[in-house]
Amino acid sequence: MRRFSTPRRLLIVAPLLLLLALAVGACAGAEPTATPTPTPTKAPAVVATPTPTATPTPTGPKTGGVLKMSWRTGTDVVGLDPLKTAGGTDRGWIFAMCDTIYAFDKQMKYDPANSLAESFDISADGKTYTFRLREAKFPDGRVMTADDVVKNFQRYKDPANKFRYADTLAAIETYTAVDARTLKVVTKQPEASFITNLAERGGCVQQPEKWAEKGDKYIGEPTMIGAFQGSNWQPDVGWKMTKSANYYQQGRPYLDAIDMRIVQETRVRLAAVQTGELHGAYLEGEMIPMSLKDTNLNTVKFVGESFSGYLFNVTKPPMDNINLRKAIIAALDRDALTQFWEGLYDPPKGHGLIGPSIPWAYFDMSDVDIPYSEAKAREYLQKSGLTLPVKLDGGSASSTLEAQHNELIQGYLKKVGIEWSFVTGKTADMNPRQYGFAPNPSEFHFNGMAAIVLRVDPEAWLRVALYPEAFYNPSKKLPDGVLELFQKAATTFDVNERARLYKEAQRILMDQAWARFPYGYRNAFATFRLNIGGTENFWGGDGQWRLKNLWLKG
Amino acid sequence: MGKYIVRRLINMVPVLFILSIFIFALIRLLPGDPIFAIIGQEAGNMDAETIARWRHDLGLDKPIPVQYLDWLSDVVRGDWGKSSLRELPVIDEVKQRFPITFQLSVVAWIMSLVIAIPIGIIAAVKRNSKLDVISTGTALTFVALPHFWLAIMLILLFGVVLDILPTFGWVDLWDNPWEWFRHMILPAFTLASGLAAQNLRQTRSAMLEVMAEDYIRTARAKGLRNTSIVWLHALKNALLPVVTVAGMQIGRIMGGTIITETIFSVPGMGMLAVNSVLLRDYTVVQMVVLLLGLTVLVANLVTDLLYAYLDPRIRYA
Repeated sequence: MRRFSTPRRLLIVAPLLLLLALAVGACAGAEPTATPTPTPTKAPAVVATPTPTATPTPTGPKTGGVLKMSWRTGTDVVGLDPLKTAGGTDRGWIFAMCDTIYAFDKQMKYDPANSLAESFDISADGKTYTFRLREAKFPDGRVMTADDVVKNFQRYKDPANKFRYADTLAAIETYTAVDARTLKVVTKQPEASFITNLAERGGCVQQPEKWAEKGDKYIGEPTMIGAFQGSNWQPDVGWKMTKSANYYQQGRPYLDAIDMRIVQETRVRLAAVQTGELHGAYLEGEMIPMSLKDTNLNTVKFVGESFSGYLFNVTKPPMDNINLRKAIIAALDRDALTQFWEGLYDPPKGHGLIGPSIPWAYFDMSDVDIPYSEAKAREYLQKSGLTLPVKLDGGSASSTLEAQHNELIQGYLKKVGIEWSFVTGKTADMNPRQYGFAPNPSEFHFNGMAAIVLRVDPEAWLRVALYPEAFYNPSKKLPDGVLELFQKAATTFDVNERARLYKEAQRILMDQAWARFPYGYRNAFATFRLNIGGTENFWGGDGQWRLKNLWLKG
Repeated sequence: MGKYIVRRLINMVPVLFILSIFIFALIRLLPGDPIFAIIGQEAGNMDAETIARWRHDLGLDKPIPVQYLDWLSDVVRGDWGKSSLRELPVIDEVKQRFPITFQLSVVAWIMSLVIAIPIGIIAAVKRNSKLDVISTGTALTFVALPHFWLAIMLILLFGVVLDILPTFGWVDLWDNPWEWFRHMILPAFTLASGLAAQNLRQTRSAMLEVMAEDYIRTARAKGLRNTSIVWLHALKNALLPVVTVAGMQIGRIMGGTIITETIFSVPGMGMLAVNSVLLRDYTVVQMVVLLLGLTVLVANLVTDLLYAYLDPRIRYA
């Protein structure tokens, strides 16, 4: 009998306790959360804008406060040390903690105000770069020297460190500190895109003595010259970015700190901004229209985050038949396909096909474009001499949206007599170098690609997209004359001439519907509560976040 | 009893060994070269030498049986290795995350029992009443609801609409017990809902069965009060099958944490497992699954031992 007494009491008391606890918990909505949002601690002040991009609001940016912002997935964050970071997406926040030797302004031009190099010269042979470094200080007050940059290059270039962006520094042959503020870099050959590569993480300058001092902790609290200093990195949870002491830009950043939280689920990320648990968040998918409709939120956009397009494998018959490639292009209503993405991402403001209005796209395809026309597609197919139906295969990333995008393509093609079947796989598996594993673009006739992230600079992007060994060139071939144009462009330091050469190469590629046929672009979005200022300067021209421009209105 | 426990513990060794082979093989059956998933998109720009270095440093250039033996010998010697990408010792990650998943699982488990048993009993005692119909219907609904959907709905209701509970995150119990509790409610309820429904149905069925037994009729004939009959005589016997089901639910809870933790951004073992699979972080995935397997085995053992406590007729030798 006695043994029954405890369970009986528990069975009676426990539900009551639970109900009580739920009720108390529910009544606690007004209680502060574990990490309350501090309001700005300093008096409002109008701060002079040190960069051309900053525009004070009528009331002026305020300083102080902690911004709570959300990054998307934990897998994007494998540390805060630029040497270790991976993936294209983390570029959004990594540069809030480290400025680079070379930086872009909104027009994608050299921005000395935000660069660690105040100026630079290139020798007549195009191989020697002499950088004049600014007098920037690390958080402990020590002034950055050219020797620090040398030590950073050594670290980035050491094969043992397996720096993922080592290719951005591959052109360097020698690098020496001429004096405390002068750095000389000699490249193996004239390479026009080298300088823009210093806007990537290989251009971040870290404080060398901290590597040994912090040891294993360094990956979570690197010491660099940047607006914020990262710390408290907890995988899958987040990290903190605290305003750097001794930052060279007067008045920046406005915020005391940023509490960066990882919220993987997109709807939850938006919900957390709606409730005020977060001030802002990166947005994805169907949450974008929801944010746009919410009058309590400010949705900001970066135009043209990534391409949509097709990858043709001209080495696999019958894709070597140019009329078949042209038939595919004519058969697909690219406006409708673009609308498909827009319908999900940006309903109020439509965007057309890629054209000269996009700042990073050099080419205007109007002279080589093939308009959407089923009749024309059939005509091209007839010219191809192929027996109908033409059977082709392809690959697709496995996300629902990308698969749907490809299903649309499938439908259009079927109407003109092309039967296209595709398999799905992870995006990472679409890497052309993954021979032996499906889905591999090199094994397919052609793929509809819906998300290809933009590179930092247009020149490098074009190379990545179309070079013979390029990531997105499954054919590993180029039409006659294009390689020469690329090589000439790579050694041409006149920006306008380089653009002309790339445009010419691009025109040949499009005219022959060769390898890659881009047609549309997608935007990147973030959402903020209305009390966040500086959002108009949140996206840089390179698609990176400018967190130092944000401020709390109070 | 002691011998029994030792024997069961020894029996776990071959089970874990077989599990380790399965985990090791399954993760490698995922399509694609892991090195590209690990390195990321930048692999497309890396030279062959750098990729080879990555492969070598991660031990992926060795034959798979050798990789397995290397890993197993390290684990047996207590070296759980480092995360391929984050470069953090796996043991440190597990030390940080296992207590979180443990707390979440235990609270969810208790919550499910606390909800299910009383309602199940009442539903059985008041069979075919409105309460019985409502509770049974609700139970069936919760069994059918997928965790990911329920979690989002709870977030929208309690977080966005009512604005009374946090939508994501985790607070350490010792840092702030109150916030710990508030952050615990929604993920724990998400996990508990399906289990509670199952336990409720089990309790109701078991109670109905027991209440039809002769000794209950005898108790009634003796003039005992209904509450005494239900709570003192019927319940303990009815709890045996409930304990069996509840014990087996540990594995289900562990599986459920994968989705629940990801949605609520709870940095436990579930989220570690998900992100490690996405990153193809073999070392971490293997250890996480092995530990989750071990947890289930231990939970099963504890369940068996509970039988002996609840039913003195059961004796283990």
